[in-house]
Amino acid sequence: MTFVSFEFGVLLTLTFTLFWSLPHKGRAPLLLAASYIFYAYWNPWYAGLIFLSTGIDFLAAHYISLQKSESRRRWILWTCVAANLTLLGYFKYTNFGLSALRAILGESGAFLPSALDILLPVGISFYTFQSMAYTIDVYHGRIKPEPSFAAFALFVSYFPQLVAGPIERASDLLPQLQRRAVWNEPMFEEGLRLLLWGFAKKLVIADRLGAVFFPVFQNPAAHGAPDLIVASLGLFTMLYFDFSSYTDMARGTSCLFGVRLSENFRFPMTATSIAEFWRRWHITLSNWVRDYVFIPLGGLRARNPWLRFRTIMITMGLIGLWHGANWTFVIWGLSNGLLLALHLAVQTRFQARLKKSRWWNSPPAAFMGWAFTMGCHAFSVIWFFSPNIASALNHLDRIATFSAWQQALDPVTTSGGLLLVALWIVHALGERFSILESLGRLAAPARAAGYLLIFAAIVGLGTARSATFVYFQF
Amino acid sequence: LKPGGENSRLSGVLRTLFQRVWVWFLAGFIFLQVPLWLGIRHWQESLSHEIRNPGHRRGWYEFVRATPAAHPGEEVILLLSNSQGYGFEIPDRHIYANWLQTNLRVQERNARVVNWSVPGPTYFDFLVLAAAARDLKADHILFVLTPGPLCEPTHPSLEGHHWTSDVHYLLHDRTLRQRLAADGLSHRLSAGIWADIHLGALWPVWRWRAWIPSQLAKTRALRPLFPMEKDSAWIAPPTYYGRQRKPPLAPLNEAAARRLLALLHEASPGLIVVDMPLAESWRGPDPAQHQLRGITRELSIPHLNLEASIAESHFITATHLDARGHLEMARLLTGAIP
Repeated sequence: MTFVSFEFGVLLTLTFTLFWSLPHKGRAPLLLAASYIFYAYWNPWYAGLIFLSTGIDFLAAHYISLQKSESRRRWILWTCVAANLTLLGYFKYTNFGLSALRAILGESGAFLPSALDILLPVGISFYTFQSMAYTIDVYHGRIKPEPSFAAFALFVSYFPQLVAGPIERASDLLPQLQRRAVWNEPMFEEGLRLLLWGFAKKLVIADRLGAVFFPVFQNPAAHGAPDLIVASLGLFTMLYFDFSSYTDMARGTSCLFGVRLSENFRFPMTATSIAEFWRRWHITLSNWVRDYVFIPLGGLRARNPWLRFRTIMITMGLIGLWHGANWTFVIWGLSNGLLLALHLAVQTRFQARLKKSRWWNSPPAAFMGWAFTMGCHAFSVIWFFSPNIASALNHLDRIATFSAWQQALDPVTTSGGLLLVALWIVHALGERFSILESLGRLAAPARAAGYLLIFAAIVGLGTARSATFVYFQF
Repeated sequence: LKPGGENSRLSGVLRTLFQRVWVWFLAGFIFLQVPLWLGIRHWQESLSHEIRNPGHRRGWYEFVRATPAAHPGEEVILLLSNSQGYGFEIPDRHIYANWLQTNLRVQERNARVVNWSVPGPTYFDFLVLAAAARDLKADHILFVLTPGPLCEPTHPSLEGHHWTSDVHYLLHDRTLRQRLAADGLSHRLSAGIWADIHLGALWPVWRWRAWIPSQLAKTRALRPLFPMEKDSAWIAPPTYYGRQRKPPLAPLNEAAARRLLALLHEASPGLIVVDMPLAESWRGPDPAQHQLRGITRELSIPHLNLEASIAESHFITATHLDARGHLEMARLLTGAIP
C-alpha cells in the first residue's frame, strides 16, 4: 500500500486513533502490528523477510556486545554484514549478476539461466541499510544493543519510513519510539501540514511533470535535442518532487505519532556544485554511505590523489548500485563520482586562490555553477531513467546528432519547460522563505486558509490516479 | 459579564476555539461548499435531460439520477450510442436525438428521447448505463453502435474496469450494484475506486474535481499538463477522425455482448440494435459485426442495418454525421420505431 491510497488512509486513521487511545504499553506493539500489516499488504512473504533481517541484526548486535574478544566481535559483525548483503543480493542482484556472468562467459555460460523468478521486496535496500547500520554502531560502541526485540523490530519496520526512507540511525529513532509519547498539538498540526504538502508535491507537481516528460523521454527518435534536454531536466525535477514528497509524507505521518524523522532534502536544486548537491540530496543515504563506506575506505585522508579518486568512485558506484540492479544505475553513480572527484580536485588544487577570488564568490559565478550542476544532472538522469545501456546511448546519440538540434521545441516541452522554470524559482526562493515554515508561523485563520488552499490544489489540480513513487523500486 | 461566571466561561471556550486552526479550516471548508454546490445545481438545471447529456467525462451521476422515468402515457425512447449519437460538433438542436423527438411529436405521440450516448464509450460505460436504464421504464432503447466497445482486446477484458465517463459513480446505488453483481462490479472494484465512489456520493464536489484542470486545459500552453482532463468529448487525436480505412476490429467478446444485450432487453423489451451509419471508407465486411447480428437474431432482438444508409457527403468524419446527416438519421429511426 502506498501513501497515496485509500488503504493507507484507513490504516493511518485506525492506527492514529488507537495509538492515542491506548496506554503507553500498548502503543509500540500497535505500531509494530501496523508496520507489518503495511508491509505485508504488498505480499505476505515480505513480512517474513523483514522479520528474518530484523532477527539477524538483533542477534548479531546482542552477541557482539557479549563478546570480549575483538576477533570474535569482528567475526560476528562480518557474518552479520554478509548475511544482510546476501539477502539483499539474492533478492535484488541475482538476475543482474546472472546476466553479467552470461555476458562475461559468452557461449560457455549458456548453461546459466537467463533470469530467476524472484520478486523484489519493496524498500529492501532501505531497511537492510538501516538495520545493518545498527549492528555496525553496536560493534563500534556508538550505541548499546537494544534489549527488546519488539522495540528493535519496530525500529526496522516503522511504517512511515519503511519503504523509501529516510534511512534512520538507531541512536535517533529508537529512543523516540520508546519514550512515552505526549499529545502535542503543534506537532500534530506539523504532521498534517507535512502530509498535505507531500500530497500536493506528489499529485499536483510530480505526477504532472511525469505525464509531460516521460512520453518525450521514452521516444527520443521522435523529438529534437532541445526537447530531450528539457525532458531530462523535467524528469530530474520530477524525481526530486516525487521522492521529497514521499519524505514529507513519511515525516508528517511520523509526527502524528510524536516521532520526528530526519530531513532528506535541503533544496538540492539550488546547489551550485556537485559536492553541494550531494549534501542536499537524499541526505540520509549520503550520510550513511559517508559514515559506513567512504570514511572506512579512507575518505579524503589519503595523500595520494589516486587513492582519493578510487574511494570516491567506489562510494558513488555503490550508491548507483544501491538504487537498482542495472548497469545504468552504476554508470549514473560513477558519472556523479567522476564529477565529484573533478570538483574536489579543482577545489583542493586552487583552494587558496579561489577563496581570495572575488569573481568566484560572486552571484554570476554561483549562477554558472548552478547551471553547470543542473546540466550535469540533466545528462546523468538519462542513465537513471533508461531501462538499459543501449537505450541510454541511443538517447545521448540523438542529443549529439546535429540534425536533432535543428528541430524546434515541441509545444508540450515548451509548456513543461515554462513550468520547470516557475518551479525552480519557487524552489530557490523557498530556501530563504520557506512556504511551510512561514505558514506555520501565521495566526490560526491565515494558517487554515493556507491549508484550505493546498487542499483545494490537491483536489482540483491533483492527478486522479497517482503514479507509483519512483524510489519504491529501490 | 460577571467575572468567573457563565458568560466569561463561554467567552473563554470561544476564544480557545478561535485559536484552533482546525476550527477555522472546518469553517472555511463548509463555507466553500455553498458556492460549489450552487454551481453544480446550476449546471444540473441548465441541462436538458432529454437531448444533450453531460458528454464525455463528468456529471453522469447527476444526469442519470435526474432523468425522470416515463410518466403514465408518455413514450420514452432511450438512445445509447457513441460520439455520433452524442452529436460530434453539432449544436444540440440539430442532433438526431432532437430530430427524432420532434418527428415523433409531429406524429402526435407523447414522446421523449433520452440521450445517454457516451463519446468513446467502453463496455463498462454501457454496462452501468444499461443497468440504470431499467429505472427509466423506456418503451424503446435504440442501441446505435459499431461493435468496437464489445471487442477484444479493446475493452471488455473483464479483468479490469475502464470507464471513459464517470458513470462509475452510479455504482454507489446498491440496487444498481446488485443488478451488476454477476459482472463482478459489486465486489471486484479496487479499493481506490470504491473509496472514490463513496466519497463522490458523500461529497458531490469530489465528482467535479476535474473541472479546474479541464478549464485550464482550454489554454493551449497548459494543455500538455492535463493530458487526460480535457473537457472536450474528443480524446482521440484528430487524425483518427479523418477518412482513413477502418482499423480491423478484434473478435467480438461474445459473453460481453450477450450480457449487455440481455441487460438492455431487461430494461426495455423494445430494444432495437442499430448498425450505425458509416462513411464509405469505414464500411465493409466485419466479422465482429456479423457475430453481433447473429447474437441479436438468436435473441430475437430487432437489428437495423443503417451502415450504408447515409450519403457520403453527409459525413464530417468517417464516423460522424453533419447536420443534414443527423436529420436523415432521425428520419430513418422514426420509421424504425413501431
